[in-house]
Amino acid sequence: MARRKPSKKSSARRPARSRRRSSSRKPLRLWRGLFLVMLVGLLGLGGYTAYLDYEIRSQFEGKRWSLPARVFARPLEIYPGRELDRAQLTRELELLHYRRGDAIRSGEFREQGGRLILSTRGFPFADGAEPPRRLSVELRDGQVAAVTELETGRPAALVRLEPALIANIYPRHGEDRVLVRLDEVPPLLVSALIAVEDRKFYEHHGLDFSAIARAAWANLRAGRTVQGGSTLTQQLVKNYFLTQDRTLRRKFNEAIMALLLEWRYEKDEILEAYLNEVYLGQDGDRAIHGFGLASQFYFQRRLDELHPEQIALLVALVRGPSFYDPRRRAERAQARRDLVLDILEAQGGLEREVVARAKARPLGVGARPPSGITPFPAFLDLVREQLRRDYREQDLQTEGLLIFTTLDPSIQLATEAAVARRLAQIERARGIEAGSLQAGAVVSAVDNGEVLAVVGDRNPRNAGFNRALNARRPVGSLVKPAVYLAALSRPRQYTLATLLDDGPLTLTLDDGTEWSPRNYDREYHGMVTALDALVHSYNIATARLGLEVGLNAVIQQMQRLGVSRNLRPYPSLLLGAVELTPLEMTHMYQSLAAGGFETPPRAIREVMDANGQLLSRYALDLRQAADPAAVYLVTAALHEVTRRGTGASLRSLLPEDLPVAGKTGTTDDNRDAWFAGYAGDYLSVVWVGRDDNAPMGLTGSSGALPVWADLMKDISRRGLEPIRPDGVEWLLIDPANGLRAVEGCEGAQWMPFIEGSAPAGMSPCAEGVPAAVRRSFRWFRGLFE
Amino acid sequence: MQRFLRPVPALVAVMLLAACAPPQATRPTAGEPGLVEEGVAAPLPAPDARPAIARDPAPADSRATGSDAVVALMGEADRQLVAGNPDAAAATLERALRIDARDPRLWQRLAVVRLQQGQPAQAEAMAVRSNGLARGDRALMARNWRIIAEARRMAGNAAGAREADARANQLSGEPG
Repeated sequence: MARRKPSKKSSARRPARSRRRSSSRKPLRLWRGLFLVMLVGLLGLGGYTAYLDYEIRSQFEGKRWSLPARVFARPLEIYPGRELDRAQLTRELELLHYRRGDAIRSGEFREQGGRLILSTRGFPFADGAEPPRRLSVELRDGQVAAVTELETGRPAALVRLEPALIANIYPRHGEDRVLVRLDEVPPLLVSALIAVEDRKFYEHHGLDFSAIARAAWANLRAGRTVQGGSTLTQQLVKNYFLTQDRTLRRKFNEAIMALLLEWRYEKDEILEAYLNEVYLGQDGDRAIHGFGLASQFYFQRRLDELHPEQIALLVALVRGPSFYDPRRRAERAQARRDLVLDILEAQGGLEREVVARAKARPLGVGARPPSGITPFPAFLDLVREQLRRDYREQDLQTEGLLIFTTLDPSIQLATEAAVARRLAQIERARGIEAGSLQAGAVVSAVDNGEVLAVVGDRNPRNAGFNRALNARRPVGSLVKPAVYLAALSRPRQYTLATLLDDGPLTLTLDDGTEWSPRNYDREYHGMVTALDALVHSYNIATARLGLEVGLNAVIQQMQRLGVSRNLRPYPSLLLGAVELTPLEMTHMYQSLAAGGFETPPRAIREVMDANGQLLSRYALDLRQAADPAAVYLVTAALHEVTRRGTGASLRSLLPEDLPVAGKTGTTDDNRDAWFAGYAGDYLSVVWVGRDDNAPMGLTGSSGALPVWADLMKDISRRGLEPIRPDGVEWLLIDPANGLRAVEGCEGAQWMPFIEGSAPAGMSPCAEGVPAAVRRSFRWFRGLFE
Repeated sequence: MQRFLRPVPALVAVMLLAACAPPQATRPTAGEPGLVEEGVAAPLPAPDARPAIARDPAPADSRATGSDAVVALMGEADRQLVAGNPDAAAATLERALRIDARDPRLWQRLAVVRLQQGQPAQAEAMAVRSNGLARGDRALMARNWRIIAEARRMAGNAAGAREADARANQLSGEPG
């Protein structure tokens, strides 16, 4: 059915006019009195009409709808060479509600041999629109081998899928809608709506008296209200001022306003407003308005992707979204849907066969509505925290902002799974009360600080306490890399081969108390290299080193790495008696992973307004936080941690070709278990503990490391490959004396040295160089005297 | 500020001309003897004495990256920069960096964009990062030092700028 052009309005339609009645011959005084009453009445009516006109105009033109902010995940970029396997790609497509099909229609895909054929929807990104395309993506050996545009047969260098909607920011009780323009609405929907709800829409002036009469007759015969005679215009007015009272005054107002609307606006404007306004469902506190959102709410598809029977169902719902609720009253809904299809057939809107096929199909409504609540509440907490710096809460709820975040849904889901699986497994294996352990985890991209995943609860759908962002816990040995970095930044004084004393240490503090740090194994290890002290997380050697370097130097180092909290210069700080959150630890380790460049963790890339105008961009921000060469040394030591230190169990948990760097952290009485570490692509920090802060009998190595390992095994595709700064050289060292060794020296270790800092002397283990040995001992003694 | 911004377009032009060459992989081959992999016996055998990261990384051109995608985005960023839209260019370069953060050309371009945006500290940090990835590409490093010099001038650090210029001249073989 073709839509007719709206007719031009004529001034004759002015509803404020009222006909003058002729008066019979009456006494003059009476006539005068009547005239006065009429004048007042007219003025009153005119005034009232003007008031209604104002009301309806401000509804229609003013801020028509308050729209919640939409929050999107990062879009998946597809290009040859990208690490991506079929499972990942199909999972991503499913998140975007792509369906398996012939991939001719947008939002569909199919697998064909080693290729995936998909028809993308396109998306208006801030930096340029991504057009809808039909693509063939060839996957081989866990990588994208080729991307071909099927229309042209040409290879595509880079394709962006549309970003997945991950959250809406609503007011507590509110209307929700996805605005559509009339030209985006399938013509079948418009013709069905008009056929069923208002056959004379393009002819009447707001009211359809024949429909009213028809409805009145039908209702009279039935003895109750079975039919409505409201035009779409009247329904729109009713939706604007949604109240359920059916008083005469209400009806009168509605009629006047409908006439006013028709007088002032074009038919298509009214229709578009109707399509976006009409109430079509309820999801808890959230009212589903408009066909755009209803299409997603019931079918998880875009309006232009709907089949005829789906369109018919939406039109059927106009009459009563609750009465015909397809989820709770499927039969009733189906009967009404079929009625809509019949009407369409009768009016020539659909062919008989199409209707027959459509009727044979099920309702196709998902059992559960897609939640208006985000599936990723922990990540959204971070987004809101960062948004709050630049936007008012009210604007977020009403201005329809589009917020593009850094969330990687695949990595988020992998993190959630690793946390849930491992905590349950640890509880089982160690006889810990089921459900007593909790966790917080953050994953970020090593190179740019983008936060890709946040888990704040072992049940990731719980929107309660967010341990990743808000649980401040003692970080234990996680602090140690900052101590060593502060030392190694002075290459004339300290190298990884520097011998440190791990013998008993007692310090009298300012308040007169004594502080005697102990090692986790309660042993003393004598003279150890700085490398071994960090690799095995020796407390006493580290405390001595930190005191030598100076507490303030260590604090400054931590702050340069991104810890912004005020830190007090107590010696116990050196062993991690400082309470920080997993997110804060992520910031600090980010700087190490990025080779000494500090980048604040970012969860948002861009914010656009409802019209697609860019409002803010959160640009990559880089600060040099440490000498890259010193950071390289720390990373090398943290890599050793994962090979032969407190994190050595990673060797059996991670593939051999995935070198990583990391550090365990354990606090007094095993209350907190930490692991922070990075590969070449991702950084992750995991905390495991109990909410009541009770001892749980787990160390960083037994509690947090397994979660971290599961996660990295799943997501990381690029092993640690730190850039070796100019002048850094790797040498064999004899850990017994910190001197240079040669191949064959027992226990010799490779260590990196900043230019000019390598020990000159040779260890006695190196055969046949007595002169060098003598020199080396002189040099060595000189170093420590 | 005006005074310092003026030379930037010229710098951009220089870079656009010079930056099409791929980074040279001038890293020397491994000098130290590699270690034989030990058998994977028993629960946790002693790891190789020499960690994997101590070995020389594969040359730049053998790394699997989305190089076509990066080249396409670099071209796009250059067009945006020439069209006077540094914000868009920055967004495009960041997108490219998400694909390959080890390409020193991307960091260098981003440094130039930051200069255009009037952010000298950021420009210098990006150029330093580019230098860290340059793997001995002297021409690229010389350009980075020019950017650093420009950034320092913009920040009012004349002495630091001279020093950076000297480094650039040294690298490009010109007299200081």
